[in-house]
Amino acid sequence: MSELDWRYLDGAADAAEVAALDEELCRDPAAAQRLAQRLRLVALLRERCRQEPATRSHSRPRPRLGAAPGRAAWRPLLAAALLLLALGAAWWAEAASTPTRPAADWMLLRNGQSEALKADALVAGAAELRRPGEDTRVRLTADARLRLPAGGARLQLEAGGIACQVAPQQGRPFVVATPHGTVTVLGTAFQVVVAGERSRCQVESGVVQVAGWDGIGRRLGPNETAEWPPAPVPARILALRLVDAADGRPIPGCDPLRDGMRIDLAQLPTRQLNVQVLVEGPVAALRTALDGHPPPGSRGIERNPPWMLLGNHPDGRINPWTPTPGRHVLEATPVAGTAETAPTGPGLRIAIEVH
Amino acid sequence: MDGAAQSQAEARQRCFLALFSRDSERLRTWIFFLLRDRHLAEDAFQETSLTLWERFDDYDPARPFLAWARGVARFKCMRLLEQRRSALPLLSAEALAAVADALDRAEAGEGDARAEALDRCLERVPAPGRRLLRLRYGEDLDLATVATRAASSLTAVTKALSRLRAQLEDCLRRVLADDGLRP
Repeated sequence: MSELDWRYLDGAADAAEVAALDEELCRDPAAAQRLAQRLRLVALLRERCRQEPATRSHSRPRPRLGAAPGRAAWRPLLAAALLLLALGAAWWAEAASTPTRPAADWMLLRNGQSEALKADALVAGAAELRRPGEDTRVRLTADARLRLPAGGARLQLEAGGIACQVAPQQGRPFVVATPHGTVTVLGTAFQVVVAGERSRCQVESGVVQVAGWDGIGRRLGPNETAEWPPAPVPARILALRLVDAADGRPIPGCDPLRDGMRIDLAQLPTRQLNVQVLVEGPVAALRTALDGHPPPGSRGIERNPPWMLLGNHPDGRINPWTPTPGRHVLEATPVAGTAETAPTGPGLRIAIEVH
Repeated sequence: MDGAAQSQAEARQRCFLALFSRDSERLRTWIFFLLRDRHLAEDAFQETSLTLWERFDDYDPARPFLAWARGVARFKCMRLLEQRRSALPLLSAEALAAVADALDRAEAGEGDARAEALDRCLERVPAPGRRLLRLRYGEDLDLATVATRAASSLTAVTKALSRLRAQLEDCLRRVLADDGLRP
């Protein structure tokens, strides 16, 4: 069995081997202890075998295995690195809390010249910025106007566009603010553009968290785009999904619900359910129906997010719904404010089979 | 921010940086262990790092930082797996909890003894073996890529790594026992 540990840790174990290892780990504490020791060995080997510590955003020094330094050889390096770490920590703490400080947070590269920028600098026009000590680069378009407040991890884009390549940020997020919202970066490549009355962010790789002027956040992954304020699209229903009425979390496998989907109640983690309507555009209210009638406990009109087809309370509690076995038709349509008004956008109608 | 509050915030930042820098590689290894997918694990690591910083006020200094970080990471990874299905077979939550408990127990009060013991063991590994370890763990390559880079077959690389790891485990046991520590 012990060889299964390494097959799992090497990513080579197939489903049957994973199941066997799982069973052993649950049954035998010694197996969990053995795997834990191997995980610790892997972590230490990763630390010790890193070739280029500086490029991996690690502060801990590691000897190069290829160069084979002895312990005595790398201990001075360890001491120096720890000193640098301590100085870096002090620098970082100061940067995060001091309103102005003279040291350069950014280097400006333009026309073959480089220049250290001071806090609160304003950069306009095509240029490239780099953060000393890490692989973070920001390219400005010709019409860009970018302010650099103290601290180095926050940019204020006033106009134009920037393309960012951001090294993984340890502890302190990297933030780009525009007049219309913010992009909180978790280590990634993305573009932000301010165009007239709106801002747009497009992610190339990694993950960012964006928030509009109202503070409502959303995570963006690769090739996803967000724009604030929302583009003037007609209201429409994107999808329906089954959620746990206790906490509003989507039920795995039922997000989204598809027309004709078969749902086995015995397989679900809970029977206290509801159906969330995912909307796009300026939705004032939703007309909802279950099997052609207003859902139980509802008058068939929902006026507030999180847009639960079977209703929710003003205090946030979600009405629990346990569907009876058989076929159910779920309907949601955006309307202006009362159930009787004409739709303001296309609705969605989905039938499910409950067993 | 007044002087006392500012100095308290600075101390908090320094404390987080020190703890996170020390344990980030172990945390990254744990997350990869949970997810088995390099890209997913990198996303989870970034999200976990951010959450650890945001929730650092919740951290109880009486507990090991890594154990707390592993708990946060486990929760993050489960949420991530709910959002993005993984095609890879994964261990159950119960099995992962057993390993997490074992890790917490094993690390209690150990300090850097194991890392120092491993350094001594690595000094005894011949150059070809060190190169294999560097490719597999230093550069984080999968076995097939290690085989290509080492101009060898997958089977040969698998066996060689297996032997190396067994030697290192054996050496660690002996060195730690010689130092009077729990192997």
